[in-house]
Amino acid sequence: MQTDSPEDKALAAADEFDDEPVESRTSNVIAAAIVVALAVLIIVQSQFIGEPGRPTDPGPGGYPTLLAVILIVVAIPLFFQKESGEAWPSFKHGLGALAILVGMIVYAQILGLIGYIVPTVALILFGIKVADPKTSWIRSLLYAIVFSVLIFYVFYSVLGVSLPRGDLERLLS
Amino acid sequence: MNDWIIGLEAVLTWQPLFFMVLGVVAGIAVGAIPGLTATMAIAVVLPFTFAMDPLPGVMMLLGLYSSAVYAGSIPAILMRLPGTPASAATALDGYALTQRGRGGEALMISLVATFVGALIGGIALAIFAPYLAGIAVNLGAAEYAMLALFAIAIIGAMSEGALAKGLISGVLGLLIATVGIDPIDGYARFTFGSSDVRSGLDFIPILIGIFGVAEAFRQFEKRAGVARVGSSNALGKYSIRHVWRRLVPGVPYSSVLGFGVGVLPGTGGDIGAFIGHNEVRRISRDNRRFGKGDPRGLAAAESANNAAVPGTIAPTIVLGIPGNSAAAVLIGAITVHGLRPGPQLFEGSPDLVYGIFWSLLFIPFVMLIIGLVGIQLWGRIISIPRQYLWPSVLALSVIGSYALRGSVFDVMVMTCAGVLGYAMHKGGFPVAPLIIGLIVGPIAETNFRRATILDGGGYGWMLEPLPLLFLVLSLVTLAFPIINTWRRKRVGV
Repeated sequence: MQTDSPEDKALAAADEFDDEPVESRTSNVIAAAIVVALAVLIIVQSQFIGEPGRPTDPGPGGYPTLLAVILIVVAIPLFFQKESGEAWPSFKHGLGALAILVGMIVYAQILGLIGYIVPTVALILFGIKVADPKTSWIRSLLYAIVFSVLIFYVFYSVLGVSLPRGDLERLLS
Repeated sequence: MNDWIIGLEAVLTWQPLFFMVLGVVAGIAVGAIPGLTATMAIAVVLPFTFAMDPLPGVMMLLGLYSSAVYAGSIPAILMRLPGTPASAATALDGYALTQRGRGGEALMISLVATFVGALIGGIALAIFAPYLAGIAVNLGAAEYAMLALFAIAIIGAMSEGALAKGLISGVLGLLIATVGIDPIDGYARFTFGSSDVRSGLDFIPILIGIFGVAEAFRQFEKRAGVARVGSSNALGKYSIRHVWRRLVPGVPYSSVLGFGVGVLPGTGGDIGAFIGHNEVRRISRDNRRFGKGDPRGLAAAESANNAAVPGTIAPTIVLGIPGNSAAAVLIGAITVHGLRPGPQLFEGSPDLVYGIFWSLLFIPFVMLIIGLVGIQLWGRIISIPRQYLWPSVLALSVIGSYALRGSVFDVMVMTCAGVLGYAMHKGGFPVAPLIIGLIVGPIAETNFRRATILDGGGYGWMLEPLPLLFLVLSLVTLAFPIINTWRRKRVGV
C-alpha cells in the first residue's frame, strides 16, 4: 500500500499533540508488581469459588486461575522495560483531576437520593470552576442549569430513558 | 430475479421510504450520544412498529440501527467518547486526528468509509445470505473458542512495541469479564457478597469510563492552559474526492472482513471494527501511525463496523438466529406480525425479505446525504470552550452509564473504569485490548470450557479444521509484531 503523500509525511512529523512517552523503569516495575499482586489475589480467591475443577472442565475457579497465571507470565518482561507512558502531572495540575474524581464519587452517591438535576448542576458547575476558575459564576450556573434540564427533558420525556427522579424532576415531568 | 422486483416494488412506496429516513435521522441522534446504544434505541422504538405494516417497521428499525452505528463515531472522533461500543476502534485514530486540527477530515473519512462499508455489506448480504448463514449456524463451541483466541491474539498485534503491556491489558479485560455469575455452573465469582456485582460488570459503563471519563481526567489535569482540542476553525472543509484517494484499497478489504465477522452469531461491529483496523494495519506500509491518527486506520474501523450491520442480519433473516442483541430486537418486529424468520419467510413473504435487502442498499445513500448536511454541525461540539465541554461530557457519561440498568452502581463502575483508564495512559498500557478482552471474555470462557467438556477433558478439538485455521491465524498475528520488534532492534532503529 502506498503511503508517500505529503499529508502522510506531515502526519508523521506533527507529533506536537502527542504526549511523548517517558522512560521510567520505576513506573514499569511498580505497574508489574501491582499486576502480579492482583494475579496472586485472584488465584487465592479462585480457590474458594464453587467446586474444584474436574478433569473434564477447569471449573468456575479454574478459568480465572488460568488467566491469572498468564497475567503473571506476561508481566515478567515488564520488570525489565524502560518505556512508560505519559508523564504523571505535578501535584498542582494533578489536583484538578483528583478534585473531579472526588466530585464524581460524591455525585454518584447523592444521585439516587435527590434526583438527577440538582446533583448534575452541581457537578457541571464544579467542573467548570475546576477547569477554569476565572469563568463567571453566573454564566457557569446558567449553563449548568440549562444543560442539565435540557438533558433531563430529552432523555426522560422524549427518549423514555429512566433517570433518577426527585421532587424537582417530578415537577418538571 | 422476480423476488428482487417484488421487493423493490414494496420498498418504493412512500411509507417504507419515509420511515426508513425517519429511522436514519433518529439513529444519528441516538448514536451520537455516548451510552445510548443502538440496541437500546431499537428496543425503545420497537413498540411504535406494532401498528405499522412489517416492511416499514423493519425498515425504520434498520435505518435506526445502521445510522446509530455510524453516528457513534462522531463523539468518538470529537471527544474520544465512543457513542456506541462499535465505535471504540474509531476513537483510536479519530480523536488523534481531531487533536491535530483535522476533525473535519476525520468526520468526512468516517462518513465515506461508513457509506462504502454499509454498501458493500448490503451487497454481500444480498448475494451470500443463504450460504453464509448456513455456515455460521454450524459453528460450535470449538470454533467460537478459537475465534475468541484470534480476537485476543489481535490484542498483542495491536500493541506492537508494547506487546507485554497489550497482553496484560487484554488479559485484564478477560478477567473483568469473569466477575459475576460463572456461565457454566452458575457460581458467583469475585462478588464479595454484593448483589450489584453479582449481575456482572456491564461493559458499556466500563467502555464509557475507559475512553471518556479517563480523557476528561486528563483534560482537567491540564486545566485551561493548554488547548488540546482544536480551535473553532479546526474542522475545515474537505471534499469527498480528497478523502477518497486515501482510502482505497483498505476500505473494501476491511468491509468484507467486517461483514464476515458480523455474520457470526454473537459478534458484531465492535469486534469487526478492531479486526478490520488490525488487518489493514498489518498489510499497510508505514503503519506506525495506526492507532495514533492514521486516516487509514479510521477508515478501516468505520467501514468494518458498518459492514457488520448487514452481516448480523444474515443469520437473523435466514435462520431466525439473531446475529446480536440488536438483531434479536429486530426479530420482534417481524414476529409481532405473525411472521417467522427463516427459509419459509423467503417463500411466504419475498416482499419483506427482499425489501430488507433493498433497504440495506438504500440506507447507505441516505446516511451519506444526511451525514454531509450534518457534518458541519457535529464540529460545533469542539468549538465549545473546554471548561464547558468536559463537564458536559462527564454529565452525559453518567447518563449513559445509569440509563442501562437504572443503577447508580454502574455510575460507580464507570468512575472506577475512568481511574483505571487514566492510570493505564500514564503507565503506557493500551486500553483497546482491555475492551476486546471484555467483549470476547464470555465467549472465550463459555466455549473453551464447553469444547473441553465435549471432548472429555482433552484439547483435540483445537485440531479440527476451522479451529485449527483460527489457531494458525492467531499465531501468525502474534508473530508479526514480535518479528518486527526483533528486526528493529537488530538494525538499531
